[in-house]
Amino acid sequence: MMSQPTVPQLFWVEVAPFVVLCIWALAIILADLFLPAERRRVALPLGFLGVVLIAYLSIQAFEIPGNPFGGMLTLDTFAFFCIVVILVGGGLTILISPRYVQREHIPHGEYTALLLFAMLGMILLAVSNELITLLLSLEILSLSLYILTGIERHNPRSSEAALKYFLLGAFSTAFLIMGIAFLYGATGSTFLVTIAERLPAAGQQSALWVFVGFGLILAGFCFKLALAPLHMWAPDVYEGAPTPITAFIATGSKVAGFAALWHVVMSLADWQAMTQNTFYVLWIIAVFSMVIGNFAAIVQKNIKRLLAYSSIAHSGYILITILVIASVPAVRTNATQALLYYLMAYMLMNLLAFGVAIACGRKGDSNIEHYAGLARTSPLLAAAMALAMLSLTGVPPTVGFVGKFYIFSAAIQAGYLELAIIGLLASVVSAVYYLRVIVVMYMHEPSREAAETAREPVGAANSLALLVSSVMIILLGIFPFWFLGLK
Amino acid sequence: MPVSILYYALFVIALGAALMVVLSRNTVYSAAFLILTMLCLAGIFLLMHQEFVAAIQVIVYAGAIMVLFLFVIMLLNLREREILLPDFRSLRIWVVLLVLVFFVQVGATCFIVLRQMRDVYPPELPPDTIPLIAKTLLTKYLLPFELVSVLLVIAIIGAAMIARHDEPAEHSDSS
Repeated sequence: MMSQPTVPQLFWVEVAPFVVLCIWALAIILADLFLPAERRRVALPLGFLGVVLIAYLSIQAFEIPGNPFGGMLTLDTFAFFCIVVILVGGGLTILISPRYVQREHIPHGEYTALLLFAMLGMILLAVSNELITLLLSLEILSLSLYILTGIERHNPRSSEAALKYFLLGAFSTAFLIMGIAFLYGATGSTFLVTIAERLPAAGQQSALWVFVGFGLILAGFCFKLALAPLHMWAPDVYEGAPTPITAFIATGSKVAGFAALWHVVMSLADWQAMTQNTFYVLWIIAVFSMVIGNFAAIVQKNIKRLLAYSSIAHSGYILITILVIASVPAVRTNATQALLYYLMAYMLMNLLAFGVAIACGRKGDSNIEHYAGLARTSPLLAAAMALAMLSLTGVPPTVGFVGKFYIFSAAIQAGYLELAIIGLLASVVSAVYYLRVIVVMYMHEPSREAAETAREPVGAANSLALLVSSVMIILLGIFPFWFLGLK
Repeated sequence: MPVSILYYALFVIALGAALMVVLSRNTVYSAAFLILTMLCLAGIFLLMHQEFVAAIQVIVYAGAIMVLFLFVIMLLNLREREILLPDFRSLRIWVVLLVLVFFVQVGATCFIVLRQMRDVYPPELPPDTIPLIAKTLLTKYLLPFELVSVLLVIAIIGAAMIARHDEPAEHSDSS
């Protein structure tokens, strides 16, 4: 006879962040139906309140490490840091949104609800420890982002970006599913912990399937993270999507994607057959991303495209830490710290840059020439943008410098000296285009049209977001242990 | 062993039909070949004693989804010159070459997979797989089961956003 089914034991504290976030998003989209039209803009503040609430619940959930849903989710320190980064990123994204959403006539309720759903996918990715959950979380995240990308219905660029993103994303998901199927076929389990346990017993033939599976999963992640050979979609999508959503895709989805990749790599890394050579594919991808991203960014004239290529390059830097974690167990702690710190740094810098782009972008205009003389017309915005650019370059008192320092020192400790050198050279190249934005803002004369027309006010929420991210960029750059000592 | 031959036949037909989905220049034919692929997959599931999955494969994919597909294709009413597929005729040699390489690879993979499957899958499985699936889905895999429903909600929101009538931009300030 079949054994009596046992429902996994659930503790409310452990699952509260996920359940409440889901209910909150559903409540917002329902409330949007019943509210009169002029009240609907309350959705964004409500969404922000939700993020604060989830932050509180997450801190409670992570008091004690746990494995809710029968080990499908792992509430450990790594996941805690990822969730901190994701919640800060989501909160800042909501803060920089209101003016833009108002200006472009985006429906408030759907926008906020989908943002929250995307965040649900992200925090689930950060904690999921089982391949099917991981896949579904990734799809929840991606599907929300596809819709958000195309939410500017009247803008053909937005629709084009959404369609490209959707088709290519669906294609890459097929790779991911195929890879998961191979891993399951070789080990008979979708739980990463069990896979790690069973791998040593796997025979020679299974080893081949594990390699194929890992390769396919890696291909799927390369797409989602916009890593070099599969990065082509990024510039078009970043350019066409509504700017706050571009910021969210560039930051949040990368944080979550790298967290998930970390889980997969960790489950395979300790297996004997996965030698250092196996992970050389990561080496190649990282180098390609850094080189292609940085060189292609030099010729960009649109700030969103520039940031897209820069994000490809930054993914390359971050992938170095994954390579180190996978291949050199001795440096694993350092590399994981570098990974977490850089994710936080990367998110703050990008959200600051996109926040300024929203504050001074008029309709459909994100050309870099548009920033000429910004230092004259609105010095504070120019200063914030300059700070973001300096931090992205990696100039000392900012998070960008400390993050790169952690990554490259981890690479050198692990014996990847050549990778650290390539990364450093790539950073030098990146200074060309980051500093060009600063030159345009501070050295060029503002166009007559820009000087005459009054800029629309930045808005309280966006100002707050810019202020918070600027302060954090400098403070965490001077005192990195404030972040790393959180737990 | 006849079962093994059946496996091979179904694999080959499924792959051939899948190839025709991509290669045929008429979208209705493509859809029809997709149905054939789905049916072959259902047959393979049946040979693996997964009656439930096989039934779902036929009902949901070959039935519901494909009918929707055909509806959309016929409603769009594409004429010959509007079909956006590239003309493969000038590339005939390369296509043949690629197809050959593809078939050799697929054949080799099928061969290896099938040889392994003989050891992995026991010929006798519990006769009723449906309660087994139900119990697993609602106990061990409870979380993915719930996540799928979240995913569907998001998909519905997206579909509604695409389908809904756009308000003119001038009035949206007050709407």
